[in-house]
Amino acid sequence: MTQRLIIILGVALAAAACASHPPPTDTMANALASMRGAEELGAANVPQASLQLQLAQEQLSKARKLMKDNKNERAHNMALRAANDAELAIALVREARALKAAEQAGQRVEAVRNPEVRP
Amino acid sequence: MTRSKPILAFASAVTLVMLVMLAACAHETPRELIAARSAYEQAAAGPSKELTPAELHVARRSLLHAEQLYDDKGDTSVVRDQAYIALRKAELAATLARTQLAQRMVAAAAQQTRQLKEQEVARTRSKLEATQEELIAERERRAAAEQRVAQVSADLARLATVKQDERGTVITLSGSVLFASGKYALLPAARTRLKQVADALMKGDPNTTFVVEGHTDSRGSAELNQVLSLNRANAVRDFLVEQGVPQERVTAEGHGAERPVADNSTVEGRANNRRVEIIVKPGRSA
Repeated sequence: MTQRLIIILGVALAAAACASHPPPTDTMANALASMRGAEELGAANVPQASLQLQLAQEQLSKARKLMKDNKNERAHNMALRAANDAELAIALVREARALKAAEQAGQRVEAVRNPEVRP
Repeated sequence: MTRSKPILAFASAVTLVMLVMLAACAHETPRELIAARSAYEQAAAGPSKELTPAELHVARRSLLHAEQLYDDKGDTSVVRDQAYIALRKAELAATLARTQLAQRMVAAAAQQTRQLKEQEVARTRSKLEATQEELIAERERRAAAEQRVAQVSADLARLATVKQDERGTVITLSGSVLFASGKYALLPAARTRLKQVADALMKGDPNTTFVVEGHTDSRGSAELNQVLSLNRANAVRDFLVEQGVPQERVTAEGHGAERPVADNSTVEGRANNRRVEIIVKPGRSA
């Protein structure tokens, strides 16, 4: 009797624990939005950003699977991983752009300084 | 007692092995956490501290949170997730700082380009202004020179006949005004007039040279006329030098009766042929 009671109680507690973590739909939507942003900025053209975006996609599909298995807390964390990956991807695209702009600006300075060297 | 001893030994050995395993487990920090720590250290040592302090602070809090979870729960998936996030936040702070550095370089380069262009414009402008000033000065010099020539011509015209021919400006002084017949000593009246001629000549371009030519009419022997004409030319030249015309600018030539300007068969023609000419030759640089 007591043994059965403990089992029932345990199941109930586990259910309650699951219930305290709702499906992380917001977190996942957030991650997806950042990933779209990275794509639109042109992450595909920046190798490092492209890699980071790929990682985000992997984390997000893991999060989806975990959510399907009702492991909402882990799914939430996994979606957070994806969101942070995507945000880094965006920053990497912007960095690549800034570096390119800096290089071009440097070349312009050189061109003004030594006009005769112009090809 | 004797039988329980090996059992006890076995039990303690098992316990020891378990403790060692536990210790080993406890020391196996998840690789996400190791990566997060090193990424944060790198970011904190770089430009992020100055350029993106807010993002670096977020990364630090994220890492501390992961460390706290690790202390509480050991190597669990939650710890690994949190460490992974902390790692990304540290990388983000560093990336944003590098981006800002690059942007600052762009701004600095733009500023430099602007300054260089301004310098170039200023250089061109001052060059143009210098050219302009030179042009104005040149124009003024030319006007002054022309003025001087005009002044000299006007002065000379009052003293003698002045005409232009292929030799230059020719100033003709009548022989009867300058010398007594057959002599080559200057008459006192001639000195006054020649002095004014010398003054006029010296007012002109300092590069001009003068040739004093003596001429006679056709009476008398050619040899005598030649000597007389040269002596007269020399007398005029010496007087001009005496008045301050530099010696190296004035030469004398005697041409006798070789170059008449009028008919030697009339009195008037002969009078015109007895003359001294001063030829003004413009200097090469003028």
